[in-house]
Amino acid sequence: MSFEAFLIQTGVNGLILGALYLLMAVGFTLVFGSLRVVNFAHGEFYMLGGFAAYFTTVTMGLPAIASIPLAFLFVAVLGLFCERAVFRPFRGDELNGMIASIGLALILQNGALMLFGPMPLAMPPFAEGLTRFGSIVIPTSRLLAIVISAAVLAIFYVVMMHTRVGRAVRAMVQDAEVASTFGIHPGLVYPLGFALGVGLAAVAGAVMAPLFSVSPFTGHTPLLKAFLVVVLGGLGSIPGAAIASLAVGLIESYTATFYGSLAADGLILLLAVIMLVMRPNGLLGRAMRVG
Amino acid sequence: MSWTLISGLTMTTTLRVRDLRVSYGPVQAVRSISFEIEPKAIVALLGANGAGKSTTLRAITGLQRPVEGEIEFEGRSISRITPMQLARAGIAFSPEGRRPFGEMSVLENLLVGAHTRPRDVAKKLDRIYEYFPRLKERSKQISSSLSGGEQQMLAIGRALMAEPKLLLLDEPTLGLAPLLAREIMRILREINDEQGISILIVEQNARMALKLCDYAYVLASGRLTAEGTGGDLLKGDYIQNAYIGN
Repeated sequence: MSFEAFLIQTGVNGLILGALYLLMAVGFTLVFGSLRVVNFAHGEFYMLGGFAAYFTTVTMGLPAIASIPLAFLFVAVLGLFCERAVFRPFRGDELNGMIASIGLALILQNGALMLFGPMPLAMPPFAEGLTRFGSIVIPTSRLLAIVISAAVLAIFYVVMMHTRVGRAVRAMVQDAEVASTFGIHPGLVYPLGFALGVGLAAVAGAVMAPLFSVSPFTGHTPLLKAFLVVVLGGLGSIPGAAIASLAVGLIESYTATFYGSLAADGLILLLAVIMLVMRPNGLLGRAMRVG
Repeated sequence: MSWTLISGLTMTTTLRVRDLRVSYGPVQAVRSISFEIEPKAIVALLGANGAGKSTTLRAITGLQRPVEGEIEFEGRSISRITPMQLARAGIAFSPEGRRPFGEMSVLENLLVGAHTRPRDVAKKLDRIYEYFPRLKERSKQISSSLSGGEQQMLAIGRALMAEPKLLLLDEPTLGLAPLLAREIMRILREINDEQGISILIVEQNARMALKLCDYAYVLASGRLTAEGTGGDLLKGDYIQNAYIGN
């Protein structure tokens, strides 16, 4: 492999990580915006998305492409249930809502451990073979991961920006009281925001399942990275999250390749600390209201 | 009080508030007030800061639950209405401080206003843009970047998108230059004339509101202290008393 091809391959890996972090961060931000809950269980929904993908493709034998919408659907429905059972009693109570989410994370992770065991499961890739762009060769499965993530984010963007439901959710996030006087029900928007948010985490889990592995413990890293992306990009800012995700993914990929993954994680944490000192609201974030 | 039509039918009063009491914990903000709005009328609720005007509006919208009293809209009780039912019932609210959805464009704000009545949106938009051509120019702009006056136009336009029969306005001229405030008042009169929408306007700017309204109620410390037509109240010293105290 030439050095150039090696650099490009590293860049592709960076983009894949960026897409993963973006899917996580966007869902995380949506949940925070609609419920005002810092969802520590977000990574567990990623993990469950991975298991959903595994069971639909490996156990049930469905085509890999079908696993993504099914993972989304399964986790979104589970999200509806969790919102109702876990978060509704803490509505308007940010601190206890957050603590409840930590409890939910423990339940989901240990539940997965009981049901599926601790052994990582391997999933076959979306596609075999390589895709060539001139002299550049990229594994088709990796290319597909990027394309699918981009497509899901595009669909999400269109739904949020250009549909009546998306507008209602955004209005509720921006001013719940005024939105309610125009007939928008918080009772509908909260579960919807949560289900959509964790559904995106499930899509991330399903897309990444063939590239990494599926186990009850895979949720930690994506959650941590979603936090960092949100710190870097600014909570509530989707463009900020997009820039930060790609930056974190690429920095991580190149640094890990040349200096090891320890250096990569250290560098990204350092960036987050610098950002918190220099620009506490993140790259494109707005000032946060506390309390 | 109801207007008897030639046919002998009675037209129901648009809004009837009886013995309304509202408290925030131990603090009594509104202590038993009663007033009415006739169909197609503009009624002003005046008084100094803290007199209970905004609280009265919040009770009508369902944002604040009254301790006691009866609120009727077109003959039906809305004392226990939730804010979510407000728009469908036919009441729209322009809140104090205008409160646009700051990260949405002007057009998107207006579309949220039409959430419960999404039909004929284009026609409704055209009509609102006729009243407020400025909103049309800025339709793609993020609403937080608008001036105070433009945000007020947006708040009124957003409320009109809900096709209300009653429009509740909380301090629509607060912080606006006098010229702009008068312009807003003129357009409110036009909206009232052309569409027959009843308007309940809460104002600290008494003189301007009295010139606009058909009838006004003056509040002080949560009680009604005077009422009358705009012209009558402009002549008397009720207003001064309400604002400065006896």
